[in-house]
Amino acid sequence: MNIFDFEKRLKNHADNSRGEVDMNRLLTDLNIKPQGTSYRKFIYFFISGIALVGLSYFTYSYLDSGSQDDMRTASITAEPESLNTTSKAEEKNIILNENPISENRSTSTVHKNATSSNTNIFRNITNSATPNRPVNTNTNSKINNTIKSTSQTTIEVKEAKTNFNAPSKLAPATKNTLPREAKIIAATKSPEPVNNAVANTYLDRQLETVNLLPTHTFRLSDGFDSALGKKKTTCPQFSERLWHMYIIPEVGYTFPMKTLSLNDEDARFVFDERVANETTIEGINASLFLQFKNQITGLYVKPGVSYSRFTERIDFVKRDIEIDTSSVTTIIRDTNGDIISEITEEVITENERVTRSRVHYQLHEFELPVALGYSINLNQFAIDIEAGIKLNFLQRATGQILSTGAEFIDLGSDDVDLFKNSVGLGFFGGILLKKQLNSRTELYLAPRFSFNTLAYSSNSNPINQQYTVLGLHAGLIHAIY
Amino acid sequence: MNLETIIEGCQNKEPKCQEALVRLYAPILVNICKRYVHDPDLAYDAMQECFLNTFKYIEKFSGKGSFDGWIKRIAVNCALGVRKKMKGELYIHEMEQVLHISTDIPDAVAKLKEEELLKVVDELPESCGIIFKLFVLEGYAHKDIAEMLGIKESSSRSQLARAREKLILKLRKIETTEFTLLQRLALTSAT
Repeated sequence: MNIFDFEKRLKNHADNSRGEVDMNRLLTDLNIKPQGTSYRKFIYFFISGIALVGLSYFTYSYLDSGSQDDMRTASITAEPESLNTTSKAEEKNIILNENPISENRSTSTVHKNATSSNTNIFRNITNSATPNRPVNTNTNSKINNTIKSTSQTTIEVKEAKTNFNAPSKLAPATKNTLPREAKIIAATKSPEPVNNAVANTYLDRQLETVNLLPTHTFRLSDGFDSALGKKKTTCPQFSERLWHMYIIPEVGYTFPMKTLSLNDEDARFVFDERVANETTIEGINASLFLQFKNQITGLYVKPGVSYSRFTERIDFVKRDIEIDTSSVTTIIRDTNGDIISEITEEVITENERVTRSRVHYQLHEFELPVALGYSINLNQFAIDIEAGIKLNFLQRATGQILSTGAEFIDLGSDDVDLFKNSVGLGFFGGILLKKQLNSRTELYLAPRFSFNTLAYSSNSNPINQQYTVLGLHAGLIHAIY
Repeated sequence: MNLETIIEGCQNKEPKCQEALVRLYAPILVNICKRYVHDPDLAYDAMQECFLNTFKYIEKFSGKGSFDGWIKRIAVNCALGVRKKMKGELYIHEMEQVLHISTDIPDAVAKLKEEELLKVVDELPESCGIIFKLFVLEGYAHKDIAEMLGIKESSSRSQLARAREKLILKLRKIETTEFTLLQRLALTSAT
């Protein structure tokens, strides 16, 4: 061997050798997004986010409309008088503030054409109302209903004024294009004549009611307007927000406590085996919440999306008796070699065969939890007490489970339907022990319990399976605004 | 995805293709960098720099030559650059040296693993060791080596001869040591 052979060998090795590289780190350092699972994770996260935002929006809208309803109901009960028509000046104001009308009509046009038919939207809305006619209480309550059903309080009050000022019939084509509130008014049959002075009093009180609305209502009105592309109302601005919004990612380790009950006596053996040998070995949970918190009262509502997984393990010992049959033939011959007798016996041997198996299955749950809670602040620490409902909208089972006939069946196969696809409604509650990290972020640890009202097992499953879950969760609360 | 598509994609700055290129070449280039920069973190830095330069200048790659050679050359340059930053300029003696010993090496060397042989190469003095690696392992001509290191072509040749000589002596030493050990074992068993 000489040095050149040695060099060839080295060269060969150098060409073929491959080093180990942390590829994800390298791709991150080079600012290249790695392919594969991360994209999938992003998609899951995106869908969850969309669902969460949608849910939060509806929850927030619902809560907000509730508070407005309360305020307006109060104003209605205090307002039994009949209405009157508005003055010219008020009518001008209406036209300027109401977007669809102000687009095409000037104030003077309205007045000039007040008696002609089907040329003015105001008149369409009014539906045969005549000036200076008093309105009875029935009509008045309908107007109030209109006000109740909208979040644009300022605009609607002015629409109400318009109703009694412009008498004409409603053209069916125009009626279809009107907003919902206008349609309700349009449906009012022959309103009674109204008195000017009383109507003014009524409108003043309505405006006072608007001023009494909570600040967040105004803010939401503004947002709602822009979402619909309407002209924004001139509303007061407040620097201090009443409701704060937080985003809360959370993970948890849970201890599911399983309850099994027998539905069908035929499955007694499997039931006994599962009760004796099936153990819940782990439960994990990951959630994403949005929290809307009232800064004055400390009350909050917290909708979210959640994923949980329970893993069950069974150690199953199967004992079979194997029967071996063999025959033994005894032949007795005499001295001549002739057969005297031939006896055939069957020997039966029983062998016990023991099969030990350790098998797992998992239950995957996707839920929409909504919690209501109360927060108590203690300087840098805080305690939240919360309870809520959760909707299990998707459940999947994977792995193998012991079934009748002492056999394991695959839960993933199409013909196996031992668990429900969704469990439905459940409840949960817990205490959050929070530590403030900075002005916008808090860290918390939360012991929590939850249970579902319905069983996880399907009707075709002879064994009823239900869970109560205790868990320890940790999360981060980050203030968005 | 074949190499041509990857290169085209990289020229169009497509992240998928850039990722494919990194996945394809990182294990090769990290080994190249480790040959010249022994510290793993610095070698990683050199490799990272190599990829950044590759993505920066890949538009200039005409496709006429071997892309493999092109990217490896960038890796070697980056690794030598990092080495230079850490240890300073490589000092190479301007001397004339030819191989004046026999090129034979003991057969016992054949029994050694490649990693062990590379360790022996790493023990060479840096000046001649780098030239040996560039010439033998990377396959560069003396002209290229001289250009890369900013030295004369003749210096590259003489350093290679020096490296070979030292290497032969080292490998012979391995044989001698093994022989001595065997002799000792035999003597111990005889007594």
